[in-house]
Amino acid sequence: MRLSARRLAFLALLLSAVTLAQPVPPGRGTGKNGPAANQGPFTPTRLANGHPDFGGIWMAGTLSAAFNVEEHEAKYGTPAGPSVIVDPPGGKLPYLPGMRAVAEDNDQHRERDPVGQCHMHGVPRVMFPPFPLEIVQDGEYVAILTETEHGVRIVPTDGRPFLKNYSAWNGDSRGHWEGDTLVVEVRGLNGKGWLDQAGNFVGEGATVLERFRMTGKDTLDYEATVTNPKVFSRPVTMRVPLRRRPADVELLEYGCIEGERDAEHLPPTDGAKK
Amino acid sequence: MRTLIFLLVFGAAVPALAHHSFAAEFDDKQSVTLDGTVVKFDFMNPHSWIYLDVKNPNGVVEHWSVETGSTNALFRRGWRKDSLRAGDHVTITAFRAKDGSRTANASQVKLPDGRQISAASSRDGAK
Amino acid sequence: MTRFLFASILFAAAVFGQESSRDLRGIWQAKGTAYRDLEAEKGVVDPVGGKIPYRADARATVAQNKRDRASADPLLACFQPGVPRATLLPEPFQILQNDDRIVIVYQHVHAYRVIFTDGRPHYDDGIEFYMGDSRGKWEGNTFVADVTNFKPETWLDGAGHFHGSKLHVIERLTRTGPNTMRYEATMEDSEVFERPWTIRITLEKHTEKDFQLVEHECERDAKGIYRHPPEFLKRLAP
Repeated sequence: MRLSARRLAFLALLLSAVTLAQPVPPGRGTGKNGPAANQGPFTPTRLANGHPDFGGIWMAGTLSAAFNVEEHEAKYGTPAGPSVIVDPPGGKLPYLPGMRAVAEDNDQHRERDPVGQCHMHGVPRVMFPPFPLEIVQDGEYVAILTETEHGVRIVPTDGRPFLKNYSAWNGDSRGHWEGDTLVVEVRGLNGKGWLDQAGNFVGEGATVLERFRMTGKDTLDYEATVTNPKVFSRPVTMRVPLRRRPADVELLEYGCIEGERDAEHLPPTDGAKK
Repeated sequence: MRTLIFLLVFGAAVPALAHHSFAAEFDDKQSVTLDGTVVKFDFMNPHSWIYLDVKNPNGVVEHWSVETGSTNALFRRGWRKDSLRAGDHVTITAFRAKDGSRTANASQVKLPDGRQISAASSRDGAK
Repeated sequence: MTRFLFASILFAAAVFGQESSRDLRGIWQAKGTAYRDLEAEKGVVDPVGGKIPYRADARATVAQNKRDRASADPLLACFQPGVPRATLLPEPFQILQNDDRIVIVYQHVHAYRVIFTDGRPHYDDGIEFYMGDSRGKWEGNTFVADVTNFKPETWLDGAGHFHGSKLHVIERLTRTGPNTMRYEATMEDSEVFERPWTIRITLEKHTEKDFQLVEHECERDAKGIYRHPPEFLKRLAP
């Protein structure tokens, strides 16, 4: 059917009107606040798409998890700290028989720490190093930029399938929203990363389920449940609250490979992984 | 030198801030004091490096490589790429590398006028 | 009536074009092979003639770099690629856009840049970055990024074209269609170049279903040398 000139003109103007009414690309700090926060859980500011605004620079509220996720004494100049494991009760990693010995061996051979060789931290370790990280949301993507090793995780929330046959230091992440909680599933971890500086590990084939929820305007609750039937007798959940850094903090570039000069002084790695 | 004044404010005990463990390479039982002249200062990641010439008790000049914390940790404490220049006289307390080389991990850097600066070492949590 | 129709359509096109043309989001990749050699691959559009205006005392270094490139190219040593080289590489990158910043994540060694658009100033010259320090703003439908604070170790392409630590890059990104963008970068560095010079390439958006960046992480070999995994290295091989 041929449209009359008048109808075409009308459609053109309608298109203009619709386009002008589109929100600008989703940014931070736009959109309305939710209902008053004096009842029930905290209500965060929202992006134009209605999801909570997690954007900004964050850092682990407790640095102790970076040194050891279990309760630990002061060692090698790092302070003592509590366990960040909330399940199982007791705060210990539920290693299968023989696996804790591997972690203890790692602890005696910290030169094997892949982070010391400029590798990305893996999940969940990447969320609680003693360095800041930046969350950037844009439409269907949540990007988590970490200062160390200029690491990146890009989490699509559009429901696309996972990559097949994928094996990577930071794995492959897929997110979805459950109310104001961002739930991220991570597969495709290569299992070579350690869980902390003390040599705890998640192992090859591990999968992680993460939950991100703001509990205050400057606090982001981070929880990670790690499942690996080859390493742990049951899933283990860690919780590390993230705290917003002051407004003038920016991520600084952290090239690692370019300036790596320690390797020649380390004992030769015997190639033993896990 | 002026920028180093900032370091007096921020030079107090800092949490251990390293991307990996100090213990892999350095021995916290082998403390050493290096009194010498800066040859070169490389402001970089993952660690900055101070290269200095140190005269040993026999009068022989030894070349030492001393690592500090990351650029990021130093920068946030006021360090800049020219905070140390060739010819500066410094006294550094540090921990030696386990492999016996003339490599060390700096804990404190002292200037000739007595000011002490934290090197944002991965070991600093002990202070 | 036809005049009104024509005007309406032009107006609609202008409005629609304005809104979507300031949207840089998506996963993009450079067309062509300028990353191998900006001169030989005709990436240089100014000066006319396509030669990078190196100072006479810099040309010997370029020649030596080119001869030694198989071993001397910092990219092959897994250095972050620098700007503008990162944008030219035969690997995708993703642009995310917020009110106050544009973030570019490069698949190549997962380098990233955060380009603030809120007017905050550059860092002082007391710190240098491989990827430089970027601040940006819009000029009409062109996003202009100003990049300073470079470490001098990166190259501009695979042919040994180097720069110094006074490098200053001005990038211009302009949408030219639903899936295309024009990318220009002007380089100046008075210690190395006689005058500013400009490159131009076309970027194409990836529209394949569920396309995403994959992890490109270098690994240390048995001798402790960092190397690109082979599947990424062969994309660079001429």
